[in-house]
Amino acid sequence: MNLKIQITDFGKLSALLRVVKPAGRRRLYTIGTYAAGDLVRRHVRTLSFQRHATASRLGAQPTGHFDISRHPVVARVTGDEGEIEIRIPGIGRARHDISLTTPTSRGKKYLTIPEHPAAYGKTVETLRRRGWKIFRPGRAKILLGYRHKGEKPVKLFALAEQAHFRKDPSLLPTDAEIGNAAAAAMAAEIRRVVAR
Amino acid sequence: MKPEDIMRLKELLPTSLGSAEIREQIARDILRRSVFSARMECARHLAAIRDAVTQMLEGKIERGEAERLLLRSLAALGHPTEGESLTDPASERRLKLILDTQCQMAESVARLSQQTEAVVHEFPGWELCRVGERRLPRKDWLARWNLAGRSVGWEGAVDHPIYGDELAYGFLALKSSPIWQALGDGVGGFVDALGNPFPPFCYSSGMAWLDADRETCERFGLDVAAAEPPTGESLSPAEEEIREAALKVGFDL
Repeated sequence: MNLKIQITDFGKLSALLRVVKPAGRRRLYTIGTYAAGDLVRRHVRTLSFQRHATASRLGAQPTGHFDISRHPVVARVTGDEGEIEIRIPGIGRARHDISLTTPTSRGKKYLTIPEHPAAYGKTVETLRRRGWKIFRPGRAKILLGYRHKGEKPVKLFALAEQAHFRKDPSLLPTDAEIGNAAAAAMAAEIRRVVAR
Repeated sequence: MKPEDIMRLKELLPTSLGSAEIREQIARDILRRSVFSARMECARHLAAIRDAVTQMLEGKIERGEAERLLLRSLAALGHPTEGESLTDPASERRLKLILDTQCQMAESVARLSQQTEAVVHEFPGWELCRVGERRLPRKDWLARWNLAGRSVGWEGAVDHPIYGDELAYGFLALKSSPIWQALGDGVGGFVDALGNPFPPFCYSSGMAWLDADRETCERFGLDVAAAEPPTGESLSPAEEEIREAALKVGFDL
């Protein structure tokens, strides 16, 4: 997900950004965008300790979906604006609803919704390779599985043709918070330069 | 540089050595620029690791999908895919460890490449803190920090945690502090250290960097001027342009 950083409504800071020459503007946007990226990282870090609802419900080990140490937050400056790219799958839900439909990007007829701790964060193929025998009982929209012959099969996945995830603004700081962080860092830099 | 570019640039390093031997026999510098895995001699599988990690860094796939790709790669090589021990290339623990470590390293190197003089001025420090939960988080971070800090005379580093408890300390040091290399070296005899002056400092670590701003560093007594690259008496062209514009619009100090 990409967030644009453009300072347009910050009084004299916006006025300064309109008149400053390209190298100066780039420097300010570099600092502002970096600061906004830091705010996003801190916000997502807090989430990573709170968002385990599905894992907890299933009694599974959390997958670390919001672990920012392995999901880059990339800040960059392009011409007259900055941009933060947040590389967490599904984070776009912070700004809009997300619908998943079938066939999936891998050409599958159904989405698999984990219903068992062993299935959480895993694909059907992974479980099969790990020794699970997986089957669909008749036309029921579930997948059952067992590891060893004689074991009672357990419900591993529910099958769905679509899934809808409602927008969840709490996943990211608001646009205003991100803008304020960028503007504050830019203002600090201007003060430092003028005072030098 | 983007993390995925850093990953793509890595060389493949097939090896028959185990983790301890790799640490002892291959230069840190080479390891930093390579994709390797203990006792993995197949370059094709290492290439699959590189591709999977690159896709994770691009945000295209999650770790579960990456794990599927790597299991497929091992199966194609005729390797059993049901192992459970850390020494088994197909075990979940091992795959997680490889994927996480490579992602974390590329992310850290990408962030280091963004440290321009202007950025370091506004954010002169790194805050080392827990960013990801672990089933069994290490409880020795305070000892690691203290031993690393003492070994460098606490140069540019705060000699106590800035917050937290046994499982979730926050530590603070300037970006220029030698404590980061000492931590990566596992000063004090921590054999799980990875030898890098950036996170992850050790295997399976959930500790990583956040940026620490000037105010935070000063509040904890760090000499922030020491963190900045030397600047001349005069302003850089970019700074000159900012000053000129500030005077033009009457920027309120």
